[in-house]
Amino acid sequence: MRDDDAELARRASRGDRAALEQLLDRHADLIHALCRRIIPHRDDALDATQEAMIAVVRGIRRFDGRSAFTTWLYRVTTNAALDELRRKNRRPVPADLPDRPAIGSPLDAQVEARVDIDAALAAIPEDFRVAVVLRDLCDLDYAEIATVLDLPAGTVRSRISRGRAALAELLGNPDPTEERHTTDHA
Amino acid sequence: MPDDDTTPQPPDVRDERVAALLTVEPLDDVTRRRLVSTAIRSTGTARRARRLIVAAAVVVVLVVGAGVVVAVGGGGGSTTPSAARDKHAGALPEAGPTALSISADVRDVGDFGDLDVVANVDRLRRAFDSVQGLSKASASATPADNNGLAGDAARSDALVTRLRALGCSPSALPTGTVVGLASAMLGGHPVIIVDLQSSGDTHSFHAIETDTCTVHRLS
Repeated sequence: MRDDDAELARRASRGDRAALEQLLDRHADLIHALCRRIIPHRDDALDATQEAMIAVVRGIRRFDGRSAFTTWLYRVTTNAALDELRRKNRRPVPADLPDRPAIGSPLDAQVEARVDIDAALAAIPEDFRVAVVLRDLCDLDYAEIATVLDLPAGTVRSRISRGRAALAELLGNPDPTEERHTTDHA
Repeated sequence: MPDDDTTPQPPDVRDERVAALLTVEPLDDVTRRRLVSTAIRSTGTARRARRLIVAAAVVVVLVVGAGVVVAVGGGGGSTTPSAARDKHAGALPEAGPTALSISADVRDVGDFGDLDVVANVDRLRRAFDSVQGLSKASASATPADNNGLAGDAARSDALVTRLRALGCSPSALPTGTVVGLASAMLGGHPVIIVDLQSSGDTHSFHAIETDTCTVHRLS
């Protein structure tokens, strides 16, 4: 996949519109998912997805292939999402989330969990949220996240740790990192 | 509170429970296509706007300038130093029957920096105005007066050499005879702007990216 991405990105950077379109189409879900989890509001996330794609189109000529295309894409998308978030930060974030399903609602537990995660993500600091999303949704390792966010790896680790702990608390679960640390150090 | 503190550090592995919660449903096809096509079109719109700015400026100047160039090219055989003519005339390397050729009278009007900057487009326009003035002067000049034109020809040498050295495939280049040249940046790429004269004395203007040979028609 990455080799294909690299070749497509190389062609796109030289003005091959079809290659660029293929790259965007291929990664549209990834871009949207990242935006959706950084930005709690669904419509704003779609706006950010659009802005991220436009940023990719406008910036692809500057992509020099020294890093993986996806690393560059995550950086562009994260920046677009954060820009969008800051533009619209006057909006009361959790207010227009879907209402929680009532007890006994036919909505299944998965939907309820999604509502919970939206609210929980909205409630944790943006820096923690971005780090957790890049690690657990996008499956980037610490070094990659450090590259994407231009941060030291230690800072990335710390933000992920705190972000996960905050999420666990908000979702009413025990902190999952605590369990694993016990195991890791055993 | 600083980021790097004594908080227990998680191992560098994905938390599958969190990952499951973070999962986002894929975009539907319609939304995906809309997002992609809008993004692709956005840059087209930006490029078109940029090209229109350049084209508008260049066209205004060169509609008038083309007549002068034709007059100089048609009746000015004795007004151009023969050494300069010999140096410039001819087709680009690898040229086929449809390739770009370079007029003996080609003029380099200079470098205009980033054409996204309106002031630079104005400079380009003024430069072509200036060339018009020179061409008019040369059309009525005596042979002695024309010594100055050798200097013009010498200045165009470097750009002609650059143009020849691009090594672009002939099929990538427009057809016609280059009668005017300039250099600039367009969309972050260095370009050589060529004023092409085609059959029927029509003129068109193209920016050739020197790093990719991509050709942008300006008018």
